Amino acid sequence: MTAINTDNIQSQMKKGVLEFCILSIIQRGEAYPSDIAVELKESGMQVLEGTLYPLLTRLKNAGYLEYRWVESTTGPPRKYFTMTKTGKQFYLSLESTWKEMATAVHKITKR
Amino acid sequence: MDKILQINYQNRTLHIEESAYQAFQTYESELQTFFLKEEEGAETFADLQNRMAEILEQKNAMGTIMIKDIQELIATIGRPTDFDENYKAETAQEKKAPVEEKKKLYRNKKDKVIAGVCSGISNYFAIDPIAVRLIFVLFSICNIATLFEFPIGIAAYIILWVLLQPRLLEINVTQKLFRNPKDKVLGGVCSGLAHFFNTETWFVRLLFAAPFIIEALTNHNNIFVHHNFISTSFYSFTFICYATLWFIVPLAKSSTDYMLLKREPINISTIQNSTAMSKVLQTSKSGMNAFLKVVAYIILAIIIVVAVPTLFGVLTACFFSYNVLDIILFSTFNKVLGIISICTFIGLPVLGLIIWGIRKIGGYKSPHKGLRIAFSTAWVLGFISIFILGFNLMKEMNTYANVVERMPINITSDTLFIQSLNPNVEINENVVFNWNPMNHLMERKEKTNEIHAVHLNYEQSEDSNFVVKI
Repeated sequence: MTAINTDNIQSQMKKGVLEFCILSIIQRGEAYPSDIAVELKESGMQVLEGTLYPLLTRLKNAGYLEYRWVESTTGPPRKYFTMTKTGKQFYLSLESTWKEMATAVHKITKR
Repeated sequence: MDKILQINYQNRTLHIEESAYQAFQTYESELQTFFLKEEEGAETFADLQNRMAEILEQKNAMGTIMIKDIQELIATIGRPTDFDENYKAETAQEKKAPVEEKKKLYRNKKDKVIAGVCSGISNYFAIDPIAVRLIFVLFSICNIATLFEFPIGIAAYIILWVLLQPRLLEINVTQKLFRNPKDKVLGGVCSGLAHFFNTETWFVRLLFAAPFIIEALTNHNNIFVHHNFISTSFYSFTFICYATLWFIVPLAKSSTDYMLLKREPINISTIQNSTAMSKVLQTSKSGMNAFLKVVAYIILAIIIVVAVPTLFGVLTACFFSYNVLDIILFSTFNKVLGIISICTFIGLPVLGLIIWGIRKIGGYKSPHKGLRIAFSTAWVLGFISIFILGFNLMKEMNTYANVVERMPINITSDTLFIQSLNPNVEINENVVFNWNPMNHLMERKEKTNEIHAVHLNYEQSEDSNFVVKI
């Protein structure tokens, strides 16, 4: 019972932060989903492409992201994602929330 | 060592081990059922399929895809249970649900043309959606065409669209009508129908081709001049039937479609058999080719209907009017040559067209070696005989043309009267022309030849006497 709870909390913590991290990568410039996954993994955030893709679709449908098709020499055409203006605003508000939370959490845990 | 399969995934040709392919198929269907539960999921699933194709192609470039590669692919993308902790519980609930739940009418989200109303109805009655769609379309067309009043069919559709809840419905029929891309002449309609009604393909094709064949055999006149009402309506009926089925019935694309077409149970071992289909699917892609093919076949049908009876008529005419041959070709050797030439240049094309038609309806693909040899020898023989015949005729013509005979006529008066024995004589300005086309041009009597076609020319003679020159 306790084990399930821990898992649940961990995944809930991860969920919100994951979206923030993805937006952070895309706001730097056009990005390909599997490259995003690689960058997250290298930074220590484990993410499956099966979770990443639905998130991107949801963000796109919310109007925060757009994509364009890019022909690829090695395989099928790829979807490259960029951020829209509303996406940028959304990201900035998330960023300020994150900073507040991070400093708060930092303060609390350091005490 | 595992069997290696060549598959076509997302338009990519891949080489994959049998066990790896099985694993991949189950994994893909797992993802599909997970993502297609939501409206947005279809796009995500398509993206993932695209991504998997990319990964598989990279692996394929390094050699045959093995089970290890599929495991790596699953590790990067993840299983549905990894995305959602509650997934297992949900599926368990869904599995229980249909037993308790009363059967209700829904719109089908999974298999739809407009809103999935027809598909939902067919699912409710457990029949092929095509049947419901066909009835609906025909009803709507009749409704609009005849009554020209309130479109009941369309209105009913819209009402059901609004009222019914959308839901992903599983296929609950063991067989569906598909067009068969593997065995087709035009659109694979006949083959699909044959599988559906469990008969032979050639039989269905013959049914569709029958009006054209009957027309070709019975009508010796030009089809454009003599329109037989019954046969014309038969044509158009079969033609419209075929065209409608072509547009409404979907082409069997996936291996699942294929299983439903062939009434085979869907499992992995049957899916493997369908890997050969990938090639066929690639060729059936181009719509332009199909269109050109249709045009070609229509032209061909006209040619067969018009040309075959005509050529056949010429052939029979040649044999029955033996007298014509008698006049032109004097020796028996030349007659034999003449008959061979006629057979080759008129009879062979007719025979060829008939054999081609039979083979096409029968669905024979491979060229027949014996037939090819027989036809080429016949052609060679025909050419040889016509050359010899031509040479002989030229020789004969030359000898006969050079005979000139002078016959002086002793007449004391200075005027020559010419009187014809035949009353039907046409007299032109300076030519007397005795032309009797229905009789033979020449008759051979015991020792003399009687010529019926006489050509008289008046010219000034060299001296003052009258001379007949033959």
